[in-house]
Amino acid sequence: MSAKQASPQVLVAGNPNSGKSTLFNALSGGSAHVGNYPGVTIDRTSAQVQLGAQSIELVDLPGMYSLTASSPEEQLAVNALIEVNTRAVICVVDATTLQRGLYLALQLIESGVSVVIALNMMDSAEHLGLRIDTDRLSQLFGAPVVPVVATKRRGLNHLLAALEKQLTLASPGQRVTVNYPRDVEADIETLVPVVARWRPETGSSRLRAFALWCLLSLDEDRRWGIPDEVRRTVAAIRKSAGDGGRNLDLEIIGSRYAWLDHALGQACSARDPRPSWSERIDLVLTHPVAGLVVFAAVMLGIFEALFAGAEPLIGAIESLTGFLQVRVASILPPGVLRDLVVEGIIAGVGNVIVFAPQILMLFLFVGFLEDSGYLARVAFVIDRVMKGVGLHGKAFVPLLSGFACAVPAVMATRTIERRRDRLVTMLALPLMSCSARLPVYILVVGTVFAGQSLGWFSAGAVALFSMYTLSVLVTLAAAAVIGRTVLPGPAPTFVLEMPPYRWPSLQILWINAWRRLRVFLVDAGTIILAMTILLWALLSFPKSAPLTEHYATERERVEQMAIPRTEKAEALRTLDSREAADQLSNSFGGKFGHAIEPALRPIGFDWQIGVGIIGAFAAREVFISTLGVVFGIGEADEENKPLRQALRDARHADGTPVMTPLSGVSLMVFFLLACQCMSTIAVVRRESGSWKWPVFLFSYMTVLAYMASLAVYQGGQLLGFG
Amino acid sequence: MKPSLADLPLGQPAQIKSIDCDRGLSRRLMEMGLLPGTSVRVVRVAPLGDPIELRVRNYSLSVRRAEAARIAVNREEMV
Repeated sequence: MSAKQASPQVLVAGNPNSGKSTLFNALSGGSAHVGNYPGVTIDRTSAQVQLGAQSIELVDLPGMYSLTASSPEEQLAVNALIEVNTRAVICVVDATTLQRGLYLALQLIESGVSVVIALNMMDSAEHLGLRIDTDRLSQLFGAPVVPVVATKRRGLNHLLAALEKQLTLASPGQRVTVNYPRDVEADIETLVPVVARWRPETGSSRLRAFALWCLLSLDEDRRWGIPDEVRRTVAAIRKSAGDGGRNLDLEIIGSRYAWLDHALGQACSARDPRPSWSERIDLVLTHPVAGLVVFAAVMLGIFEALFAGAEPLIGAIESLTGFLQVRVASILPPGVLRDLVVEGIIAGVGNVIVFAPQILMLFLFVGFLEDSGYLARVAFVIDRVMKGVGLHGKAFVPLLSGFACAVPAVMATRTIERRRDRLVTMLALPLMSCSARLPVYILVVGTVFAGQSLGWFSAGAVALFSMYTLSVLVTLAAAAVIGRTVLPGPAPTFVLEMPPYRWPSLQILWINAWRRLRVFLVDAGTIILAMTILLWALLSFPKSAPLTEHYATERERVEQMAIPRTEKAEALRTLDSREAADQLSNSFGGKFGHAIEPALRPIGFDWQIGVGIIGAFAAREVFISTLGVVFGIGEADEENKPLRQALRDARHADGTPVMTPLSGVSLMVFFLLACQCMSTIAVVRRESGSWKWPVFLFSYMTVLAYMASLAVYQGGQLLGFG
Repeated sequence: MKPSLADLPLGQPAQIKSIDCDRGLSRRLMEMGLLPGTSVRVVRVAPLGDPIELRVRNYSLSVRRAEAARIAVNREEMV
């Protein structure tokens, strides 16, 4: 870290949708590094860029409208501004919404930092009939103003040249004089000495800027390491202003906009704005009927792609993993090392990479929706529904993706601005019935409901439909409850810019999706790999020597029997499966299954199901292959007939069958609600930045699952089912 | 009852008179350019009736009706 701090830092700031990240990618050539800001869950995207003779670190700040820092993202941006090695800021301004973008530039210049203004999307502005005198603008702001078109890489050399020149200046010497009302000036004067006691080394113009920042941006309920004395003085000033009938915020912001309006009056002229094609598109896309139809079609398309489109790729990765496991197993000598490599490491790496297709796809889709401007319309169309459970309209796409897989869905929550809203969404969405639950439902339904019907429908179809409906209801209820109890806070406000529709750059979509995938593979992947190895160890050790010996003699006995070769091979395979079952039963995992059986009986399970549930922590569908081993069948999938039969034949100690329709429903409800997925845990850890949230997620889902299964099983028995 | 943004008919130009949301939201709206005297009009209502889309300072912003109801406006003459 210390080496990095030495290289001068140039921040790229700008409004959301200003093309800031596009410009950053164009300048860095896609060679960016994604790190993490310490202590928060916000990615820090940066790149080393060669500027003439010197190397600078370009940092892509989160999008922001002002330095008021009403979110952790904006707070970071403010922190980055006052870091000592921050040498300059490139402020990206969308030329079509000049005033709002320049409001941020004005604030940056006021704060005393060296600023270069990149006037982006000049082509769109010209198309709209907006004429901007950049030289005049540059004079008024006292800062270089460079017109660019980031998507077409136009003007980048001029921008870099202006930046290089700016960096050679000892002090920026930029000064903008906004005329604040006399009352505000008096308030600043009161505050400056207080701030100066805290930051004695700061120059006078920066002290003034900082005092102004405190007056406008310090909130009563946020601390941010500002000394009490400063906070108290600000509170006193604000109170006396309020008592005098003044609105201090309005005075400050209003003065700045007055300055901007005056400046832009000198530097810009606009012909009558034509209705843009963007507005014409919106006539359809947010139309009460057509809008909903398009919306449903787009969501269905994404859903279909995640569900079905990723399937061949996932299958290919799984086959490749299987192939490698067989090959390596045939090379290495039998023993613990071979098992560790095959069942721990290769399986673990496979468990990580298997998510890659869905993550890439979802991020390409979400990136496309976001950069094209449609994501804001999605939120606009569906917000009414999400508001009911205290979620933001932007939570819809992640929630829907949860039907396919919670892992990419949790990653997709980063389109939601506020951290609290993001957390509520990522803690609720693992309850959506993901595709890994489906094989479990199919196995259970095939075992206990085979051939039965309920009225016109088959009992299995009714059961499946009920699971999916239940999952949606529980997810929404969980969001509402979590948002009121664990993460209380003001309901998400919905102040969302509707950017004009734009055709996204496919290259940038790809760069971003690839970057996200890399972060997942490294950060969440390590945890998933470690957990796979741990699970393997739990289900493989201790190896019972007497059992090994017993089966060795059994095998020898079979070898010496005078029976046809095929029969012999069959008998040996049965022995292998039985040994695996006995060893598993004797392992830590097996013993644990036995130990928790008293807790599982009230919800209708036995120890064998318990071991399956433990194995399913690797991924829910592993439940089936684990059961295959437990029942001594060997390899099995959800359509496996012997496994279904073995499940039907399984008996409790008192001779009653384990799998009844009632215990089957209880098992499905358990799988629907329990957080049986280490990858979800790993990705929530990555995205929330601490272990606190994944632990909470796992706990509440497990308790919920147990209680629900208990209610189903006990209630069902009382009602006379099962 | 002061007329608010939530009561404006579609397309009716108006001028913002005052914003009376909580401090954080009022400040955010002002920093995004919604100030007393700024021209604004409602250009669209979401298919389910909420939120609404505003046109202000050459860009579009959507807000919920609950918030729009706290932004007082004066109607401008239609031209």
